[in-house]
Amino acid sequence: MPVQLWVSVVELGCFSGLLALGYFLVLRGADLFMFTMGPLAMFAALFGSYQVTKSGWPMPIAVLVGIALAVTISGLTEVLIVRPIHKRTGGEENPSIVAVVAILFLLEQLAGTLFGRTPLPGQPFWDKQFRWGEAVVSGQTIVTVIVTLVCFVAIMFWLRYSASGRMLRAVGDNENAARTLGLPVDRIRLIAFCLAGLLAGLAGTMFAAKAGVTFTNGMQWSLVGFLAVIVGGLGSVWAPLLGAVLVATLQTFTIFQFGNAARDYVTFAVAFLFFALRPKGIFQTKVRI
Amino acid sequence: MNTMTHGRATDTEPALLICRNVNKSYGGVKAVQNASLEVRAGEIVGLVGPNGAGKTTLVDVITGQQTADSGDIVIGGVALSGPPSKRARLAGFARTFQHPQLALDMTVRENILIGAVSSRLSTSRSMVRAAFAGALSPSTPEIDIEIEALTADLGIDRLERLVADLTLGEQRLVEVARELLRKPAALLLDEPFAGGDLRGVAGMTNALTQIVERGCGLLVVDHNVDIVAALVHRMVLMDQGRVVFDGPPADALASQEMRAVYFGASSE
Amino acid sequence: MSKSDELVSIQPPQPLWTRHRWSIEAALAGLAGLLLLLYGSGAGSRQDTVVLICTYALLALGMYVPYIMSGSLSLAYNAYLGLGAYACGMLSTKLGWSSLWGVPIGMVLSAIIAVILAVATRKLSGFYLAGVTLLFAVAFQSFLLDQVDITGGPIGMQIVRPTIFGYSISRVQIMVASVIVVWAVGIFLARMRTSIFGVVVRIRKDNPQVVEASGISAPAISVVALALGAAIGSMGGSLYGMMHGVIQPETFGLHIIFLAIFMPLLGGQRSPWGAVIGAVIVVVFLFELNTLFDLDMLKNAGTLLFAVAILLVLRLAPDGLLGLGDVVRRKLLMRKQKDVR
Repeated sequence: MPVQLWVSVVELGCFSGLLALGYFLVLRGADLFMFTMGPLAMFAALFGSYQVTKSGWPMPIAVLVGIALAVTISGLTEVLIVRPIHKRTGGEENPSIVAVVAILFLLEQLAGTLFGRTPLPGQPFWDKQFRWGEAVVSGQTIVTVIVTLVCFVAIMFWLRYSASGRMLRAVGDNENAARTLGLPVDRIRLIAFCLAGLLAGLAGTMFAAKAGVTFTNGMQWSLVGFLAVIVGGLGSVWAPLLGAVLVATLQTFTIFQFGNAARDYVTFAVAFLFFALRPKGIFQTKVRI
Repeated sequence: MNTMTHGRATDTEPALLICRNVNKSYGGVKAVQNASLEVRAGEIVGLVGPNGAGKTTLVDVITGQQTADSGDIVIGGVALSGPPSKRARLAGFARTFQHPQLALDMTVRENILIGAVSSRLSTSRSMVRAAFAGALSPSTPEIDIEIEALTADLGIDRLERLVADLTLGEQRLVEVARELLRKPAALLLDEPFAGGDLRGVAGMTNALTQIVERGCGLLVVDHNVDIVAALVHRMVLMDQGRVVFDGPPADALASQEMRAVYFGASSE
Repeated sequence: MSKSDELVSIQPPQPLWTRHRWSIEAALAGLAGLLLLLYGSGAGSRQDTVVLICTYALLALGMYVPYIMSGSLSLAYNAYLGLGAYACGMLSTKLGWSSLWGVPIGMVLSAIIAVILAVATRKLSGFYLAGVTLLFAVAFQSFLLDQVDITGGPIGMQIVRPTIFGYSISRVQIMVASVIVVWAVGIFLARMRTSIFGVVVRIRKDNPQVVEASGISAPAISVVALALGAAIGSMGGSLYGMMHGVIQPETFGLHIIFLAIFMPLLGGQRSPWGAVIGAVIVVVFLFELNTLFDLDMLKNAGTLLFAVAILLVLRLAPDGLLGLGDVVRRKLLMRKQKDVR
């Protein structure tokens, strides 16, 4: 595979890694798969681009507001939809799944209605281009890598050293027990959702600079993040990133060799294999005794 | 050591449920130590004891939810082994739960119905066949006759009501009916009197007699020592993982062991 | 002497409605079907609408068994619909068979795929089934667009008018057949629902352990339910394809997934006819939106509105709109019971 494609792998890997990290947090804290990560990322990116190109906002403002929107929407979905449904059905799975899927479609169509259905270019943070051997590496790629690593390290510290971070896993594993112990379950879940929204917003905005963004991207992005967290597993906070890099490598190679449609076939096939054979991913959670 | 006293209601009946020297530990804590107990056909045995006495653990071992570290469980003459639900089913053992496991959005009759299904649907092919057969003739007259008889005996009426509309006491009776339809050798009732109103207690009391009349052995696990004492033939008291008393309820209530265990604590 | 010796005579007879509910519903549905056919006896476009309603009704009925009854959510229904339609197309254009063969073959293919996807995730939480079926749905859509040699790509493919024993089946006849099929499937499911199998499937939703305690494999029940649902959905696609004579990938796009969830939820749980009603509402709504406004933006806003509606339904009326009626009725009944006590 030509070196330039490895740059693509890095970009895609960081992007889906951030999305997978969002999945990871919500899985740990609320025991559900946040299929809305993709649309949230898309919404932030599309909003930012729309405001810059159509309303003439300065880029930093547009980007920041876009990301803030992703956080807000994510938090709102938790408070207004996921939590009441969860409470009313006693934690039943199906209403939550349907709710998440519904929000996925809602965000997609909302974005399409608000920002139009034509693709918009992304907003790069750092416009320079660098040569690295045979490959061209854009400043945006470097920014993406740095931001991704910063996010992962920050989340790692949050999980290990902050009060709410340490309680996250307890809340997700056994909500009733956590409540009985007096843990602020609702607050922790909300924090997890908001953090995931933040990660989605960052990811979407940075990645959109590569190839633009359109309202239908949400589904595809959700699925690549989903596969990344499935492959990586929940064993460690870095597992999503590893899974993301593996998935990015696989997807990029597949597109290079076999074209775009093949990527979708392979994505499905890999997910299927993992579900059937190793559903807990490569890094499995170790049971603490 | 067990204090086995005389006075079992039916000495000559076969033992439907036998626990012999069962031990179970959880991470260093001995939840159940050397526990033995028997339930014979036509006999109602009460298992009481404070929280943490090991009742729940012993029940879980009997029903197969946990595996004993050592000791035997024999149900209906069959020594238990293998995966949990399969063990219990094959051995003819049924149980109810403190919080009845019923489908709230289905009718009383439908909830009871599944007790009669047994292994008719053991393979995928039989399931598909059942789907089509069900569409062709959905009614189940033979089972319905059994259900009518059973619910009449247990005092459940209006079978087309949704379970969600029933009181807790009524729901418990529905669960009992479902389990009885399995024609088990022994039935375990888990906290059937907990949190119930007077009518619920009366209904359950009547149910106990009906169960035993059917030749089922009955093990009642509950906190309400007084109610249990009034209903059972024999009382088994557990404390700190051990069986400390096993005999007629009157003796049990008067015994030193009972006073020691419940000293100072009011029975709920 | 136990009370059972005096048996049934003590129980008051059940009200007529309860005892014969399914046949009353079937009769009403039959009536509705006749009315629909009457409507369809007009212009050709009306016949298309009738078949569209039937297609969506079968889609909704396909979701009914696995999802509404048993709580297993599969998101691959656009693929099952597409398989049914493209099976008709491929068999008739590539093999020269009657496109009618697409119906059983599409059903079998869809059922097999549903089984494979379900078995792979049978021991995992519902999210995994949703995820793997969604991934399959996306892959299927890509396949339709990409494999131009096989599927005709974005332009789509033709479906030859179906023939049976050499006689060509007209569009009107397809329309009538569609309504009959929906009616038959509705009756089939309504009856199956109250049978032993139906009861087991429904108990599995919230109490799989009770199913297991009866010696029945709960995952296996889910797999069978999903297979049945896929087959029913596929029928809808076949009927659509045979009626229209030409199919394209975008007809079976991802928006179908969403409608498939929405329609039965809208209609309610207690009866498969609720799913059909949900389908009628959706088609009428979409159709009316189209003709009344004829604006691109509003047509696309359909999914948006449905998404909002589905969230509202989940929040406020978990048993669907028909279920709201149930809730009101039960509350009134309970108030009466409390007075008696």
